[in-house]
Amino acid sequence: MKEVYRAELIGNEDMVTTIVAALKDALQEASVASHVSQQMQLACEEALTNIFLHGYGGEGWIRVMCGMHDGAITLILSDKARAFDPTLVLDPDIDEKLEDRPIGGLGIHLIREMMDDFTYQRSDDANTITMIKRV
Amino acid sequence: MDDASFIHSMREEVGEKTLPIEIGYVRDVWIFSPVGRIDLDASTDLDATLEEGILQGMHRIVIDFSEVTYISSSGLRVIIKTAKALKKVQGTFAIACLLGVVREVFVVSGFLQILACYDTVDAAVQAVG
Repeated sequence: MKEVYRAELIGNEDMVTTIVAALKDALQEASVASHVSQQMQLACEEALTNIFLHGYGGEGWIRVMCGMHDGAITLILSDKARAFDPTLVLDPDIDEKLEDRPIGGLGIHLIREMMDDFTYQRSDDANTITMIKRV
Repeated sequence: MDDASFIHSMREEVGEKTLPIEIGYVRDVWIFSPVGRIDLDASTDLDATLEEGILQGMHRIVIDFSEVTYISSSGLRVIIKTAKALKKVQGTFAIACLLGVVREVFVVSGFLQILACYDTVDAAVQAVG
C-alpha cells in the first residue's frame, strides 16, 4: 500500500478542519478524483468529530493514515478513548418526517453511505476504524 | 441599517468569518448564500447567522447552495434545526441549487423528502414567497 497521508497528534475538535484540509491536499497530490476525495474528507471529518466530541469529550491522541492500493483508498483512524465501536451504531430512520427527525446523528450514517467498507478493531487500548473506498 | 447589514455586523463583532455568507432578498424572502465548505467549523458560523436572521424576523428563508462545495453532518444539523425553527414560527424554508457531493449528502440523509429543494434560486423564492 502506498502511503498518501499520515498524521499523529494530540488535539481536539478544533483540529478537525486542519486535518481534513491536509488530507484533501494529499489526495489531490495523489491525483484522486475530486468527488472521491470529497467522500474521503467527509468520512474523515465525521470519524474525527466523533472521536474528539464523544470519545474524548475534549483532547486526546489520534493517528490518521491514508493509503492507496489496487483501485482502493484506505483511511485508518486510531484513538485511545474508551472502547467504542461506531460500526454498531444504528442508522437513523431517514424516512421520518421533519417533526420527528432528530437534529443530529447523521455522522456515522454518512460514513456508511460514502465508504464501501467500514470496520472496527479494539487492540492495545486503542480503537481503530478502517474505511475503504473503491475507485 | 437594514437587517442584512445588521447580521453582517453581528458576524464581524463575534469574529465569525469562517464561512463567507452573502445575504440578499427578493420581496420578503431572504436568501442566504454560503460560499465554500460547510464543515464542523463553518457550521457554527452558519448556525449563528441563520439563528440571528430568524430572531430578526426573517421567516421566509432560502439557502442557496450554488457556491457550496462540501457539507458534513454538522452542516446538516444546522439545516434541520433551521427548518424546525421556521416551522415553529409558521415560516417557510427552501433549499436551492444542490450540486455534486452536497446533493449526494442530502440524498442519502433523506433530506430531499423532508425539505423543499429546488434547482434554481428563483424557483425556491417562488415557493417560499
